[in-house]
Amino acid sequence: MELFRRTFNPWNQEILIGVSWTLLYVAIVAGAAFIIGHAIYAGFIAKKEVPPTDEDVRRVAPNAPERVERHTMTSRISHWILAVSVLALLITGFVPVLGLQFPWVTIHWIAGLVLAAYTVFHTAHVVKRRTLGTMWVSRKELGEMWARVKLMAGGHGAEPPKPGKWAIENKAFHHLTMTAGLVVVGTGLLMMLRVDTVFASANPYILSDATWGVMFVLHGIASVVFVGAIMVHIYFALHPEKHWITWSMIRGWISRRDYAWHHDPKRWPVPPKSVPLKGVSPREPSGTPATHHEP
Amino acid sequence: MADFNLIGQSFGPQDLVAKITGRAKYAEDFRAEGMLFTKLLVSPMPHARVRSIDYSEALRLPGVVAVLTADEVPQEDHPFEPCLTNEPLYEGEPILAVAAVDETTAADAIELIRVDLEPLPFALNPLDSLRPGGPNATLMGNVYQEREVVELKWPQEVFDAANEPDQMPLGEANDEWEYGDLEAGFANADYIMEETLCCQSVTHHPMEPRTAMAYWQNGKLYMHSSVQSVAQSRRGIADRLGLELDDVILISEYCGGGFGSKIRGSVTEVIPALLARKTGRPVMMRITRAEETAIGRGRPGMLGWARMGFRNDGRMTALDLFLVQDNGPYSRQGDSGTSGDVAALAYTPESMRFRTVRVLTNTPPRAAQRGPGGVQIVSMLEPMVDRAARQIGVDRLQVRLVNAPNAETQFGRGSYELTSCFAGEALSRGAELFNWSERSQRSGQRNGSKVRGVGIALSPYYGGTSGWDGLVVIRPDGKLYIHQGVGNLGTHSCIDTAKAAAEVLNADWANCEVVFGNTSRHLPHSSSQSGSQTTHAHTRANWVVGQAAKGLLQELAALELGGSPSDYDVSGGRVHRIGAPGTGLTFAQAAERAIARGGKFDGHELPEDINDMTRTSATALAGQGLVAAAKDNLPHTARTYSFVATFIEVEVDVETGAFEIIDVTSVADCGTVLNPRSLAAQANGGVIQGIGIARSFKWAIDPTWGVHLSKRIEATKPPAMLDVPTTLTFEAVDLPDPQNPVGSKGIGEPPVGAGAGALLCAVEDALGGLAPSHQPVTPDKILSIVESGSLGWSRLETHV
Amino acid sequence: MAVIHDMMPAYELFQPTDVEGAIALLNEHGDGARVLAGGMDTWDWLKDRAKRITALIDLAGIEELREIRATPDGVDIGALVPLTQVERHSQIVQNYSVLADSARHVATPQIRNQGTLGGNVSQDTRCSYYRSGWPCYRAGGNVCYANTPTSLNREHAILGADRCVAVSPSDTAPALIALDAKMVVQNRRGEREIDAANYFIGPGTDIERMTVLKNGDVLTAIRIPNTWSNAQFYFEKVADRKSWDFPLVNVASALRVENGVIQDSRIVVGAVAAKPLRLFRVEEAIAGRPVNEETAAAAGEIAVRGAEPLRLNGYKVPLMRNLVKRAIRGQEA
Repeated sequence: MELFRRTFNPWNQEILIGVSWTLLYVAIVAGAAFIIGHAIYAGFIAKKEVPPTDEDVRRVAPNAPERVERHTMTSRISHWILAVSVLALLITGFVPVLGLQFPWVTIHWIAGLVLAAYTVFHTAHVVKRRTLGTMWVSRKELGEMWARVKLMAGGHGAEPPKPGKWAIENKAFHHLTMTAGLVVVGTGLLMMLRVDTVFASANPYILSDATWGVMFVLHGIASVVFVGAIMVHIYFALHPEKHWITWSMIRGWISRRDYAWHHDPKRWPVPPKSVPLKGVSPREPSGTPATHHEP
Repeated sequence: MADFNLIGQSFGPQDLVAKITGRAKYAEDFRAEGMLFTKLLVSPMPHARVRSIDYSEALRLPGVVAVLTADEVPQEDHPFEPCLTNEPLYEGEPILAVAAVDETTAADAIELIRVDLEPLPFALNPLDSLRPGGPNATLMGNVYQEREVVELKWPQEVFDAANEPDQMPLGEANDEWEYGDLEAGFANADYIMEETLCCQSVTHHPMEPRTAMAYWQNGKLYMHSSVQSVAQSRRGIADRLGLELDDVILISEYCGGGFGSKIRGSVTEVIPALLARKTGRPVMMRITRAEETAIGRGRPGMLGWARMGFRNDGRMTALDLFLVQDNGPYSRQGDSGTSGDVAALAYTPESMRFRTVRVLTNTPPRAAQRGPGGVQIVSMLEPMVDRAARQIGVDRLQVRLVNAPNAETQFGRGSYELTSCFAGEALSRGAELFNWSERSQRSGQRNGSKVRGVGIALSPYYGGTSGWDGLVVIRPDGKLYIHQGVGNLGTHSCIDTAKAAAEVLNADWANCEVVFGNTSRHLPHSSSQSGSQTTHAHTRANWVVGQAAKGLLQELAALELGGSPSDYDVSGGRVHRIGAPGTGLTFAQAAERAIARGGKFDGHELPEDINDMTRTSATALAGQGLVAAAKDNLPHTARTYSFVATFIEVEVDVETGAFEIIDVTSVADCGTVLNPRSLAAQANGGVIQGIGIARSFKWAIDPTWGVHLSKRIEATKPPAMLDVPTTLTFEAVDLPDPQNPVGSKGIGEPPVGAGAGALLCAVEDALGGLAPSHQPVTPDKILSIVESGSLGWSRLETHV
Repeated sequence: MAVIHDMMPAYELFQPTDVEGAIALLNEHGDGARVLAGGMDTWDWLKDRAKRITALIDLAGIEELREIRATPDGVDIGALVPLTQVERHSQIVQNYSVLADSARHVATPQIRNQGTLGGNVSQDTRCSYYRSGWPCYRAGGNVCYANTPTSLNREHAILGADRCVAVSPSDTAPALIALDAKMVVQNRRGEREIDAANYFIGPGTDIERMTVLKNGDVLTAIRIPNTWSNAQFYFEKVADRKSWDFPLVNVASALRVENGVIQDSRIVVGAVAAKPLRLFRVEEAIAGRPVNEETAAAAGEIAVRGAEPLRLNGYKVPLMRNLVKRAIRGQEA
């Protein structure tokens, strides 16, 4: 399989102009395979997790409030902006490749700018809040992940402890999309210089053909990675077992039950009284949506 | 003035029917047993070095016979231009040639060849090359210093001083001359103006590309090639291949134009010869239009500056001229030097300084193009003179008349003198025919969106050389055979100048045959078909050889019939006793008697001073009749120049920038008219070519890649049928030049500058003196000027 | 591997005698097939080896494509009717003179004898970079060589550019849009009629095509309704040369005027964008207005709103403005 698209420049020198679009199909197939695999595993193989009883919740998280804040308003808004921009980027970037033509360029770079702005904001935000270390993956976590994988594969052993605020798969997803995101944003911003925008007239000559080739390849690979990653991400967001997370990204909080169920309060201590969440009616019934816990 | 029988009569050229019916065979119409075709692999880069070539796959393609690389062809140091190169200096330069059984196979083979090229720095605009740290077009340097290529950079301050994007930086020139007191000239001026000048390079694009077919027989090269001149191109081919002149047989009876690009043939024409030698088979190289765009030569563009001083009566007191010539990558072009002389001659300024620098660029190689240097300078300076005339309030005809040269004028680098000059007469007669006084009143008259404008240009150009040979034979068939080594490129001069010999011999033209276009038919040493020299040079040579033949006839008659040679005259196809016309010999009888007597009569004894080529030809003809060969030793003590004054009226649509040419009137001082019909065709054709250069003809090279973007005629836009009026008025002053036996001077080139200059002046006149000052004046530029007074981009851009 | 231009490569030539046959051949040869009408666009591409094909489907032998037929609603012009015939056909000259006029402005008599109406409207852009075989967006690459700080883009777009700045070169296309013509396109699924205005597409829609035609489609006829029969027409083309040249800008218009007041109009400008632009905003603005200098001038101003000139084509803005003005006012002020 040809991994790259190449052509000849006006001097008849062979140049890279991007990754082979076959890679897009590879990413889609890989994403779909993962989803199907997971669906089969979750549906037929994995033993159903039993939700903790009220007793369990009180025991595990005696001091936790009913609603445990998982995402601040700021991070929720920025997540959804990010989501919209990434979807817009993927649709505008790839739908024409798949054969449906429409004027995509302007939407693409505007969405790209949103993504870039998000990147800057998010970085500034975590720097300001000194939460850069939140996503750090420790050696211990890696060990736990390995143990979990062994269990899933039918191995024996003790259930590893539950994670803190961020499970390792969350962290992994974060790092993958962060890397791909930085690559697409960096290369994408440069590529904006190749077309007319409100900021500048087109100038494809600021970099050499060879450098552009690398840019296109990086942009392409990162975008293709995004396709797979976002497919899986959306799959989990829609997966019944993960609805509590999806809801938390909308409402900002998780229930005390989910807190106790999915997290290790020692690793993610929360203050006893959670601040009332903005935008959420205090009269709203407590607890996680019933659907979560139905067998 | 002598009374002529043939000179001054209209004749159709003798090859007319063959051309019109398609029977005329041009280079690519020839076929030979086992003939191969060759295609060229050309450089995609404007400057590069070949690192490696792998043509093994190409050789394996069925039908491919041979590959010829630069390593197998004659190479010398730059500025020698090889036919194939490992260091291409312009995009489209041939690197390698493939010979195969047909063209498709040869082309397909090219696509199987791997060439690894290392791109090298390149310069497209001469100013970029002159900048500190700017690219050099060749590894040796970027400018010509005399005949050497050296490096020249102008300091940054020079560029900084020219602060406007449109203003010409004036750095160091390396070729200059001066006469008079320039400072005083400006001090005495009532009005001084200075301006940036620019003029674009433009490709030649003759109708027939430089196709050639070659084969070898018994060590001799037979070459069918599209060349302007025959005797001189044969020499060119021999030189390029290192052959003896006698080993080259050049056949070029018809040439579909050259405009200066095929003067001594072309660099690439030896490729089929070398491939034919390598393969032992005839090889045809048909050049396509795209290839022709690259290898087919171009006119050097110029960027420059001029400062002019005028007195209130319009007299030019001083001219300071600075020209940077876009020389292309190879041989040093004489254009800018000629520009200096032509400017000096056109305006006879009381004092003048001329400076130039010839900068090499990685753009298609340049060559003389019809009026080299003249067209550029006339088209750049005439509009400037108009602007000055407007400022000082002198009529634009008057300013030209007051500065026009005359027979006494001395001009240019060498204070040259003229053999004759009737420039003032041409201007005055043109003004009369054109009705200048009335039409100039219509200047700027607006009708709806259309505005009238009129313009004049006076264009001087070289009109001839001397010292060439003539060769005639009177055969026993009673015909006069006039051998011509000049080419037949469509100007008619090949035939028309032969009439000088017939004129001397009072021969019936129907009984004369011009032998030309094939060196195996024994041609004399002739001038190149360039520089408007043929008319002058070969009326002289043929006149002289006519005299020689007449002398031989008289001498022969005296020997045969008694009396002294002076008792005899020649007319009606006979040599006969004066006063007793019944006593004499017909040409047929004379030819037989000449053969019988041999010696000097039939070519066995020849004059000492003729050229070796003529001697060889005459020797080969010896014994076939009365053979006369002679060198033109007539006095030629000054420079021969012709002049054309062209008047043009236009109507410019200021809403679209488009314009219509209403009238074109030209009057030439080209001495005695040889053939009125040919002359009008030649002069009007030249004017139209000039109009084309001014209004649409161009080439375009991408500034970043250095690659030509206008590779078809459709894109280079020579003038087309509807771009000129259906009728163009032409007249000749028809006053003889004293240093030509029939009074003729050349006319090929001066009309081009006149057409270009007059059109630019007329357009500018319609715009009320606003000038695009950038050629060609296409609608976009006119409209930009009308709308905003500027082009919106720098006039110093080249190859736009 | 080295490249060579201006030398026809080998391919298979097919000369079907009916449209179905042509379509079958196109489907059989897929992406390697190309339709040939007059060849005025195609030969350049093939000779320059800038587009490679395996099969050329010559439509010249299909008699029905070479006919002009009067219909109850107007006139049907076969796609292969030579431009010379379009220029001279009595019904077209009498009722749809803007089309005859535009055809007369194409290139030269020789090219008009060979070139067809279908070919003229379906021809590829003349962008010199693209036609030189450079790997630009339109050629499947990812750069526009005509829109850089150094490009030679005098002939390029001022409107509707999307990465690619090439323009539509056709003289007859604006006239056809002004006449509300329908393009009849046939493929193996059947026949469809497309409004002339929608037949042309910009780079935003598909950067590699100038028209809706895809491989397997054949433009068979151009159907002119009598909607604009004998309307007040105008066509003007501005080019570097008066013959054998493509437009810098051209304009075609049809006006219905009653008592000096514009009832309805079609104003179409060519060579300013990748497709001929029908100026809806201008048409709306002049409806109900008198035909005079003021209306014309206002129309010109509206026409060029949003124009974004490139390095060398700033002149196209006033040129388009003035041509639109003249399309309403007439050439004389």
